[in-house]
Amino acid sequence: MRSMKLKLLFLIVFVLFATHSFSQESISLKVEDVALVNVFKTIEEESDYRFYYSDDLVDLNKSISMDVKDVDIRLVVAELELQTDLSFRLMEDRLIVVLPSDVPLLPAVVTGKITSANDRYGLPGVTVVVLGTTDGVITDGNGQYMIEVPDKYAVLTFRYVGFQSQEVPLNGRINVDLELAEDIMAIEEVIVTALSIERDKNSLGYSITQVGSDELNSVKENNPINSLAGKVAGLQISSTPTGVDGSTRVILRGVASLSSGNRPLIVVDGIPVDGGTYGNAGIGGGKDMGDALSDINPEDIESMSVLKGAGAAAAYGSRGSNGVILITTKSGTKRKGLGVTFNSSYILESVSTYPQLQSKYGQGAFGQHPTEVTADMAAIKGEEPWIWSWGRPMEGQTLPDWLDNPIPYTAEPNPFGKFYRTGSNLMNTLALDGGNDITTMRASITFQNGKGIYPTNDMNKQTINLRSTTKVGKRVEVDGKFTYIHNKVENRPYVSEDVASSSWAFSILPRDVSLQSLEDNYVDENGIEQWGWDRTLGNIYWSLKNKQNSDEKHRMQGLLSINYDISERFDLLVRSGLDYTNRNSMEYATQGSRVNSNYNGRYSNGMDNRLEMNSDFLISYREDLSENLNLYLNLGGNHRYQQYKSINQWGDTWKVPDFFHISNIENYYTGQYFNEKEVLSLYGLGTLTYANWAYLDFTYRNDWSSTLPAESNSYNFYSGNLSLVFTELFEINPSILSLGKLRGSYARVGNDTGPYQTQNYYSVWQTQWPYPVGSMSGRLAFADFKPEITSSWELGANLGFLKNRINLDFAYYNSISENQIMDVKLAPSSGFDNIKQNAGAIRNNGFEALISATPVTSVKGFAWDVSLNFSRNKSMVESLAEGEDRKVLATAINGMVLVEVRPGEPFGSIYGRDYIRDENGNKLIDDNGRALQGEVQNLGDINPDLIGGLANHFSYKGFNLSFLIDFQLGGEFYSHSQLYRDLFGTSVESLEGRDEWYSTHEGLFHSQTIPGVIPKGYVEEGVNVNTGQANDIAQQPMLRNVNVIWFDRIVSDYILDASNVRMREIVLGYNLPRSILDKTPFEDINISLVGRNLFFFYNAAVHVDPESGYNASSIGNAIEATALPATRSYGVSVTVNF
Amino acid sequence: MKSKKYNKFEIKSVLVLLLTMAMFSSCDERWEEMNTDPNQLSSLSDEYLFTNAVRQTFRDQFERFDIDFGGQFAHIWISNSWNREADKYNDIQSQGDIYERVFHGVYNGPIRNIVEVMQMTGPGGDFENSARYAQASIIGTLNFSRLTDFFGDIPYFEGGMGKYDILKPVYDEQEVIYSDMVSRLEDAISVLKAASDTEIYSSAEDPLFAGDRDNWISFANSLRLRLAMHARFADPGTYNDVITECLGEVLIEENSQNVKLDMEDSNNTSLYNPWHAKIIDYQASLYTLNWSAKFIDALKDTNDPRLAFFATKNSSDEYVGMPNGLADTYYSGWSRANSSLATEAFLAKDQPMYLMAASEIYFLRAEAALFGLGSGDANTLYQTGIEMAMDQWSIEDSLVTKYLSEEAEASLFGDQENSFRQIATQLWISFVPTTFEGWTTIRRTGYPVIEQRTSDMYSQGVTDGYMPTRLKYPFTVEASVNGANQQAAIENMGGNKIDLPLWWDVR
Repeated sequence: MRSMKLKLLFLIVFVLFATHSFSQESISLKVEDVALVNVFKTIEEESDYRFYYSDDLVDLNKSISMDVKDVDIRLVVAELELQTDLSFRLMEDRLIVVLPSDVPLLPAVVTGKITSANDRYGLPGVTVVVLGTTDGVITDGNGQYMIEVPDKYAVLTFRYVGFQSQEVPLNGRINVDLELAEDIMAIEEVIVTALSIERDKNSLGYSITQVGSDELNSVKENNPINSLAGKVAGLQISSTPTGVDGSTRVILRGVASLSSGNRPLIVVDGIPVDGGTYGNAGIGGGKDMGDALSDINPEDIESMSVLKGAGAAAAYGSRGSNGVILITTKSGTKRKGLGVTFNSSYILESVSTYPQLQSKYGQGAFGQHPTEVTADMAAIKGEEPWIWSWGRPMEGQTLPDWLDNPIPYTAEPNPFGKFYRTGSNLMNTLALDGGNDITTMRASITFQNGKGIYPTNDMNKQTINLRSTTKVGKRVEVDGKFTYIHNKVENRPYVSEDVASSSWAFSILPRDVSLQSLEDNYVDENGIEQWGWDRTLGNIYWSLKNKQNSDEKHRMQGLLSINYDISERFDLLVRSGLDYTNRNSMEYATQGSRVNSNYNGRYSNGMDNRLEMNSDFLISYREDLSENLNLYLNLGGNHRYQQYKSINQWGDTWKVPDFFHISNIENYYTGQYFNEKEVLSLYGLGTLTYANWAYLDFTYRNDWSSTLPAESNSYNFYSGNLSLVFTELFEINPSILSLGKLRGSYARVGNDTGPYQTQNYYSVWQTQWPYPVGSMSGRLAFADFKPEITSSWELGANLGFLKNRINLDFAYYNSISENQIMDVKLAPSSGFDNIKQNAGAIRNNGFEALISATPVTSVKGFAWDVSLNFSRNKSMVESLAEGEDRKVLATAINGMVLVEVRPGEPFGSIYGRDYIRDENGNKLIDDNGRALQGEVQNLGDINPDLIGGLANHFSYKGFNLSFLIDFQLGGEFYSHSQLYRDLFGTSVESLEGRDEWYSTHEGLFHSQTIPGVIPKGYVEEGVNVNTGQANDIAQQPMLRNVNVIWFDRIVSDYILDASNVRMREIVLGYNLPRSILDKTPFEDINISLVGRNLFFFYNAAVHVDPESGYNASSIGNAIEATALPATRSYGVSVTVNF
Repeated sequence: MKSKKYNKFEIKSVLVLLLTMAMFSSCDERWEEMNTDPNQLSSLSDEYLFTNAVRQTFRDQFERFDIDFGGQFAHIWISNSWNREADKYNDIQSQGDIYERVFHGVYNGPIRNIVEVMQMTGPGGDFENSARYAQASIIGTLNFSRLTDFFGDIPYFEGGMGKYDILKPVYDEQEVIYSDMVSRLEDAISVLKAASDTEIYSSAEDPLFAGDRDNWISFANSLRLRLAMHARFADPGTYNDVITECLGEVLIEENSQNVKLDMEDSNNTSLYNPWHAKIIDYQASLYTLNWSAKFIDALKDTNDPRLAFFATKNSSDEYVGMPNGLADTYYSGWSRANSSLATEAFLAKDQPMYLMAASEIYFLRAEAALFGLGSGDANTLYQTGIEMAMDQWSIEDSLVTKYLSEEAEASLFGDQENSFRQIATQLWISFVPTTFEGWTTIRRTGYPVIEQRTSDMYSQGVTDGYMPTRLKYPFTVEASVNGANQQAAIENMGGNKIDLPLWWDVR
């Protein structure tokens, strides 16, 4: 800790002895008999002073003579007052108001209406302030305002986000109506940056994207992060279809760490909150327990800022290495009376993309029905390959079904289209807000009721949010917030290869088996599950009725922040926040199923608590070092404490049927877990601004973490960012280039590790075996941790053309993450599996571009905005631990498909076996018509070549229409479900060659041939390895697939292109016109029709949505393993203000 | 230019704040406590790991040893379709690196724990105790011997020592390993003989013999005999003497002395026999195992009363074994439903798991006598072995007597070679379900004869149709992390093929 004290000392010295200079503009003026107006103009040209006067002043043409050199403006003004009958009022920002000296200066009330220059509607919420004072009001719902002024020569300023601010000298008037013009550039100008500091976007040397509530909120998503999809360059978002409240994979600028989840840090109103996942499905099955992101209520969000690179996030130290998403929630506004907002949205959800299945051939193998092997269907029910769909054509002939009942043998409709219901999401929010000069308050309550497409999957969620700010005296402002979230989800669907996975079942169910027969016969006369065989699959109706789960979450977030305005130069912010989540989950299967519950039934329930507390202080110091050079310094500290606690109980074998309680379980086990972690940080942030064109930022942060060894628990991060607005520097004609900015950034941030990694432990087993049992972990401790370090640099430019009607924003970045804290595999012969170590490096580089334009704005109020963003990230593994040539991150189908990292290859490369091919890529075929088996090789990787979104927004009078198309080009994934559909003969692709084979081989066993008949069937495309001629030898279609998939383990056909272009979002909104609303108590009514994920323009993978990864982890998109079908949603949203 | 002074108020406020921050410091001690895992222990006494090592030796390895490889190579049974590469004599595994699963299972299971017990109880250890060290050494030897009989050269002296900074263990020659194992067992026997009953693991800590020191001695000596018999053809000079030594010491003589782990008839999966869980609970209709035609025929031809205990009859009321090594097309057409499966009795939840039984020792003694080692009559020992083997499965006495009196194969006959065949064949049967030892018997003795596969009906694999004699080394993690040492072993052994004979496999 000695180094910490030294640093403190240094900082104290630095703060106390920083010097500054202050200069005032002086004026030189030499005029002889010049009209007063021209004197004004001369002064305005020579200096930054501006005069405000009313044209009807009689003295304007009065002759003036003066000769002064380097004097204070006050002297000049005094001289002018002597020579005229006017008086002059010096305001801040070098404004000089000219007023007749003979009028009495009495307080007055000014009224008026502010409208939008665009559509002439009143603008509510415009801030009207008397210049030089803090007195201000806000316009009401109609844009009307009323303000008390000290006199009729005061200057009013009108400010509204997204519009150009105006200063209007009253010049004696008491009614000022004003049209505010939309400020095209200003929409993004003020940005919330790290530590919630609001900054002018031009001053930033790094890339940051802010998305406002209107863009986020139009289509209600349970998880508001999903609304960012396609809107932010460099941000990859995929929400796997795993039911209501499923989790979302969020990756910013590529994967940087092999060990952590690579999810960006989520900060709400300055307080970091839990944004992790609660447990994901694996390839073998399970369910998606959702993530902590979905607790953020979309209705309470004011804006989200995405801090992409390390430069933007350096102030967050070890947690910022994957970027940060800053969420600012709504707070109360100063207004007359109480504002009430009611929003109701009802969104329906229905299946959109699901596998297409063949409808010609039914259960069986080799073109035979199972009864041709044995008369007893029951005997063969579970025996492969007889449960596949390689049987006879279904032509209505009478054959025994799976229950041995003779029925007409016909194809069943695609179960994907039949089984799932139309889901829905009803969300109602009531928000109250109000405030006066001292206190503002906002309270909201949201009720949400979601129904998933899986028939029993429901969610109920309530969110209560209270926010209030109040001033205590002149110097202190207190800001408090409390949020409570209650969320209960029932029957999260089982996915992947789970025995209870509906989607898996429908991929491989024989094509003649009807859902109705499964539902009617899900148990036999003994109450035992029917159709269950082996570990592959149960009867989906048994699972639907007898295997249930539910979970319930209570989450509380609190925030108290005190801002102390010590002096003009010093501000102090002290803030403390907590995030506490309590979760309960339960799952059971009744007795009566072999595959689901080992006949005897299973039960588990558990509870966990997560706590994170953060306390901060932040001292801000600002000083004008010279006229053009300004310094803004922040010095802060953070104390973070995280705790996780859980208890679980589980077991099997029910004693009494249908009583789902642990007391009713015969073999029971319990578990308990606790961990905690503390991190202390000190940081400094500084900004130097020169004139209005150069900005230099620097940050330094030191963290001390309880999880690292005592000798090396201190580590630091720093960044420097530079922004140059060259259009200001070179005074470039704004009609050519209205904005030109270059920016650059360098940063070094790091990452620590979890608790308890630095020593080896023994554990004791809870077992009913009557002997003491203990064990040692297979992971060896590693005492010499260093933090993971990501160093990155970034260059970017912003260009604005045609008065910023066209804007370009471009960024290139390059980052390397070294000293990865990862599990390094040990030789099994050492007796241990792995050791945590610092090893390996991953480099990410890429670019991001945003082009936005307003092609049309007409006086009549029609406007069209369009923006296109796209980005490319290359994620390259530079090295792994010494001696490690690869690291397997995930495997599927017994290691036939491996998701790996290897030095020199992209992160998340997919390995598997290909065919042997000639130099032209043709498969080589042997004399039996069989393709030759090649080597295991890199078949693709998960990283897209390009992702992006195209957004269009049209508005006309009260209507607005926007739509967002997003796209991904390149990137691959392995489709596990398609492989199984081809193996089981259920896919449309499996039809190839079947009719032909059947025509020559009907009724024959697979290996038999008919003398003189040349067999037809599946003809592998390729060239004969001996003759070089195109292959024309046919194979039995089922054996072809079994050989390729099962015996030759060739998986290259199932590595699919993830490219897709989809209609992500459409919103058609209408604001009811004032003429109607004026007769009602309502201030605003907006009705929107919304749609999300409506359809694909292009989807290379055809049968599945490429976003259907198996979970939300870093490599979750590498493997598609039968999540639920993808869905589209559409509905209506109504917002009423009064 | 002029400079502004800071007022007292500003200075005070900032100072107070900075002092508050300074209170952040001095948290090192608290943090050391905070970063100590409360869910686990920093120290634990040895019996916890000893019982676990014993448990893992039995419960955790059978699937790899006896289902995946041993049983299929030994022609005792055929596994299900996706586990049949071994049966097809193939050396690439559709299930990934199954060789590493064998390796990993042993090193990261019983060996990790037993090595730690030996560190704890060895000289200078936290729980120094030479008797317990000897017991741990026996369990360790049992595991290492099974592993070397799978692969040949393996990391032995440095194996499982990762916690003691040996992360890349050197491979040792099988000949050296055998020599050390035999002398370790010798040491263990003499330590246990001299030890008191209170020093060894007590009945509450000893799942094998409930604290019976004599049984541990007979176990160690029987294991020593087994190893010496393995090695006797490779180095008769050394091992014939060892065999003679062993025959002069106490050996397992009764089934009550068998090296077995008792199982319970319970609903609790962790207490009952995992074979039951593996075959009856989870894979019911999947035919995890079909009895091999070779095995069924051997029992059927000799009217062996164990047949009804092991195998079910098919729907035609017959015992039908499935041929080993069917080529894929023939395999798909084979109706597994019409072949004999394992019986419920054989797979009963409370059926103990065996690693050594009295029958084996009698057969080994018969073999020794046949070749002129030790004393005793080969035929008497052979027949006692058969009685013991049948008694192990509670075959009715009358059936045993009938078998012994009526079946030609129940008495040794013919020349030494024929008697040797008979003994080896009975060993092969007696090892069921520990079929790995059955395969070792075939490798060591050449009996029962496994013919070369020549017909198109059978897969010839990578061995030209000959039964594999070892496993390849793991080709994934062990190969990449400990590659240099593995490569040295491959060079020492003259290759890395599954038909390469081990050092002791010279017959």
